Amino acid sequence: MKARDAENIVVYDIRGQICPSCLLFTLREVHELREALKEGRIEILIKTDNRDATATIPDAVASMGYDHFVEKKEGFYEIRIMRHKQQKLAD
Amino acid sequence: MGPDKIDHLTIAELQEQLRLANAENQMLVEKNHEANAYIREKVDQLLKVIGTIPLQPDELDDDTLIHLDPIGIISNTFIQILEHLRQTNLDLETAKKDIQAIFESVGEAIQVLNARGEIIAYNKKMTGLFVIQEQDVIGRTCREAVCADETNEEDCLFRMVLERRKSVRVRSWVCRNRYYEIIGTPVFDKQGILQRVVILYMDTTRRRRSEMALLESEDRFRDLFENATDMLQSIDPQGRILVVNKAWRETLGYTEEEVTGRRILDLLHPDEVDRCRKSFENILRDGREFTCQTVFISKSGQEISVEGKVNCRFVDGKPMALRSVFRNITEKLKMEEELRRAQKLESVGLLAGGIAHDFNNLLTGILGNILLAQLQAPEGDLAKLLKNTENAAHRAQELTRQLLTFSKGGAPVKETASVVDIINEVAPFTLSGSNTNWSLEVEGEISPVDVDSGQISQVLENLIINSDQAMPDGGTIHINISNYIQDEHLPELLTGGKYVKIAIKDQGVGIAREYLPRIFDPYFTTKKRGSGLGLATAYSIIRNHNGLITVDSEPGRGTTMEIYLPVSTGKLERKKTVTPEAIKGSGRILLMDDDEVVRQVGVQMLNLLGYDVVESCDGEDALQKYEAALGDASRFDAVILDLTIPGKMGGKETIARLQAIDPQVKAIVSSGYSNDPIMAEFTSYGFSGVVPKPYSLEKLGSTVHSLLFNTDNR
Repeated sequence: MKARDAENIVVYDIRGQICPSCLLFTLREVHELREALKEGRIEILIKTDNRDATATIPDAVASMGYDHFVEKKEGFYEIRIMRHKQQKLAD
Repeated sequence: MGPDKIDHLTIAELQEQLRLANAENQMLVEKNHEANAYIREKVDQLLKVIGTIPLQPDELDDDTLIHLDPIGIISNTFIQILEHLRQTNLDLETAKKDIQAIFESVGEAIQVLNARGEIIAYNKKMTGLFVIQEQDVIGRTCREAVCADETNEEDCLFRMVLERRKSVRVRSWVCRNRYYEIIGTPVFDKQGILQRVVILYMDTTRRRRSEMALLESEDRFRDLFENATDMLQSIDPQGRILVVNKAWRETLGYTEEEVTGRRILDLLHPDEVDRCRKSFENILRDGREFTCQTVFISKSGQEISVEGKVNCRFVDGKPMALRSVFRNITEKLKMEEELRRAQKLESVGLLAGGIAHDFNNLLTGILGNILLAQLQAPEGDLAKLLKNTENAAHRAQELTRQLLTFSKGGAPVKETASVVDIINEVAPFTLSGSNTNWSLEVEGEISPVDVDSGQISQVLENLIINSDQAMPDGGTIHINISNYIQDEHLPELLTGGKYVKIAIKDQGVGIAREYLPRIFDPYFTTKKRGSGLGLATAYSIIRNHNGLITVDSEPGRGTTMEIYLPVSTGKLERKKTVTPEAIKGSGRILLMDDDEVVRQVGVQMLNLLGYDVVESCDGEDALQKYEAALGDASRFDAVILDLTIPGKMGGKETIARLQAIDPQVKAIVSSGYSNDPIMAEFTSYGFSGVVPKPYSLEKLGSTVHSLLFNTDNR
């Protein structure tokens, strides 16, 4: 379920799960990886086939100060979570 | 309760204990269930707070729920959300400071209004421009704080923004004598309700005044350009007219529309086109300013000579326009030609005057002696020879008379005369024996003129001879005489007033164009046997009469000469024609002349006329002799004084001194300078008569006789 596609992207494939477990799972991982995320060393990529998750996850991570990017793939969605670009400028 | 005791329990006790255990177990299950329900409820509440859907029982069983620890996850999430909010608050605080800094440092006045038009914020610049220092304007409407009711309701920017619901820009807004460009920008909330209006005031007073100053400056330069007396033109590099000023248009007779865009070369005299084209090409290439003299053809076909400078405006090395400043020199060239001619005449005149004086003295001796010889040999071969000699001497006298016309001070002896009478005398006489006819057209009653009839006769004679010679196969010379009154078509070089115009027109060979500027020059002639003095004499005489002579000629089609003579204010008096004859008398005459030959002839002629004569060679000698004889019977009845005695006292000074001795002195002035002003106005100088040299017996006799015996036979 957890893999590293590239050096700075942590990928979670949670296809088959539905909300809110998708959200809770993502929030837990975001919390665990928050230092690396906030420093911009990594990005998190969630693969989900639950449509609700494309709304709940982005809303929640935005409130936490992260940028996100949702892209529809063949039969699932990819949600990328990364450090807020304003944060980059502030640093 | 240990195992030991179980063996001692009864069935009933065991059953009771089992029931109690089941009950306790049931209670624990229920509590666990309640705890899980509680957890689920709280998790759902928290999930709702962060904006997501509640937990699904079939998605997460209780064990998984406990294992997942959603409350822990969400509380960790809240930590991050709170951290983010705190950071956001800090960022907002910084942004607010940024905005405040921008607000104050933008350099223009800014105020923020609420939806009711009340001021909720403004910057320092606003204070300087509109708001009185220390005055709290927060909460006041911008209308009372800024406009102070100077602006009409319909020009209110805030109102315009409210109505249009978008940014509004007013480029020229005036308040308290200053100019502004103002921009009102609405700020809406998420529901699209207008919350604020931000108004930016840009003070454009300096720019506006600069623009107005620029416009005024442009007006001034435009005025200067338009009303310059010189002709100004601007031509594009292709040679087309961009702009010309009023003097240019008026001089050449075109309107602005007629010339804008026209090729300048098309407006030049054909002879000037090639030269000017080369000059234009050169200046476009090297940019060097040059002085130019050229000839335009006006709209009415007149040749307009101009001179001036041409330079080129370059931008980034590329020629943009050829600028020219020209002055109309057509009149100036004519004046220069006139001056040149006058100077030539003056130099000729100086020479001619001297020669003529000497000639007249010589001719006095020659003609006098011929006369005396004729008296002694009235008939026979000798008489014929003497007559031939006399004729030749008279031709020499005529040539001398023409030369004298040029001499300095050759003032005409004017009398009020009729031009028609003069023409009627001169034309038939001049054309006698010629195969050329003449006609005279007189338009109305011609005004009299003040002229020297002899000189004007000479002019007309010369012009008629020229016309006659221009028609070797015969023809008709048309002479037209009319009164000419000053009007807008007055020829150049003629001052205003009334004139008599004499036009002499022939159908002869005409004059080539290149000769026209020179025909009035002395010694210029196209005739094989011409003296070159005829037209020069005519010109000099007419100018001495304050008149004008012009020529218009076309080769093969004939020539028209026009003479303009000022009208006289006097009345025409018909004079009796007196046939000259030698009138004899008696008396004692003192004859003063430096030329011995003249004295000898004079003495003999006066003796023949019956007078006693005493000779004198200069003024001093004459004064002595006159004074010596004054008190006795030998006193002189009259004196004849030569006007010019080289190096000694001449007639003018002598008569003045004689009058001092004897106020009753009767004096006759005599001179070879027959056109000397003193000869024309002798009475003003104290003389009673005048006898030009060479003497004629008749003139001498009649003049002396009328002086001594008070008869008017002059």
